[in-house]
Amino acid sequence: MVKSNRGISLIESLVCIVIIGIGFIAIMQLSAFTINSMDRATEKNKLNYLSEMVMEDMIGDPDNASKYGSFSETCGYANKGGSNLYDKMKDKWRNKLSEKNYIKVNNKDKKPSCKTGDTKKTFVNVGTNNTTGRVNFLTGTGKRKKYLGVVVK
Amino acid sequence: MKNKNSGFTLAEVLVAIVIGIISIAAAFSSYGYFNKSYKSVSQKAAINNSAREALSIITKDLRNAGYIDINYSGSDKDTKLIGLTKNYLDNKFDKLIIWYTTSPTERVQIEYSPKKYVNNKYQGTNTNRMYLSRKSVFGSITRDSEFVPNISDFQIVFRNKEGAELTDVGDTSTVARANMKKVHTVEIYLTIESSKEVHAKQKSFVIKNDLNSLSFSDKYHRETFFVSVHTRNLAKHVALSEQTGTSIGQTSTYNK
Repeated sequence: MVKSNRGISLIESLVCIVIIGIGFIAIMQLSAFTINSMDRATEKNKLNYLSEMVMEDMIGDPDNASKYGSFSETCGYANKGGSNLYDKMKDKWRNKLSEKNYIKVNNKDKKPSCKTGDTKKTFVNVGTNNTTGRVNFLTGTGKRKKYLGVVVK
Repeated sequence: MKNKNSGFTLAEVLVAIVIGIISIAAAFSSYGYFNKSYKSVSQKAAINNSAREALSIITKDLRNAGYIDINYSGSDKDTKLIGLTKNYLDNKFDKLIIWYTTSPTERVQIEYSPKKYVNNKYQGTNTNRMYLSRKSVFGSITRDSEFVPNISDFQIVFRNKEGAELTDVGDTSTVARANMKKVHTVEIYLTIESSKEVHAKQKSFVIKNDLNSLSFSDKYHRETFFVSVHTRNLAKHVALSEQTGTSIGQTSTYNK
């Protein structure tokens, strides 16, 4: 009986290791993605509370609800001033939605972060029977959307 | 029977050993990496979770604050609605008291205050770690619980109808009692830290909530959550006209 034991050549085994290595890198990225999505979840949680803040402010001042609409800010927030409650509330929204607040790590990593395309808008619709308000908050370069609406009055 | 046993050459064995060592090292380092990322994710998830649960209860309590049942006849009817103690702990952190009636004869008192850990597993050698306690007094039953573990900051701001800050509010003086019914909006800043160290290197934090600024330089992870609630039972707006509501979406352009 003639038996030929050729086995695997060195080249073949190296190629095999490279392929396994690529798979490994993919698994590593999966782990990085998990951390990233956890951060995103926290950001969304914060934004949920901020959208509730906007709704609460509208409910708290229903007769001036129309003044709370047409709020539209991108990343460059600047306080506008004013003595009415709605002016102050809108400045509060600008403040809370801006990234300069909350935690600064080594003076960077500011949260909530804001990128191009992250527009924060409010709409108020004064109808004959009711007044409705809603918010459209875009985050993650405008990809992630947060909508919330209530009947104000 | 002819069998040719040529074996491996020295070079082949050496290469095989090197490759083996590299793959074992890769497995080791990836174990460390996964372990680290698991720790970080679970800590962040815990922060997020406790914030969500805590804030939903705090906002619920705030929306109820100052509610008095129409048949409630206690002598403290108008003296126990909402209260605030600024600089309650360490001259930095605030304390919130909320009262509301749950039936025509009963009223509940709820206190949110930061407290320092005493002999706790999270504490370690650091004697400054805090938790947020929720103390409820209902009749003769008092419950004091560790409501949010590991907090870094707890700040409260009361605002009146004009958007100005109210600081002297509570059941302490005539002025403070009169101020209770002026509270229109309550803003709460809650900064939660991780129970264990998360970051590999020390990081310098600056946390600026309201007027309070805190600096940290450690390996803990921190997140600040902000809520703002309109206290419906205190400073009410004057309704110009009563209107009946119809369903959203039928008459409005909501979500179009």
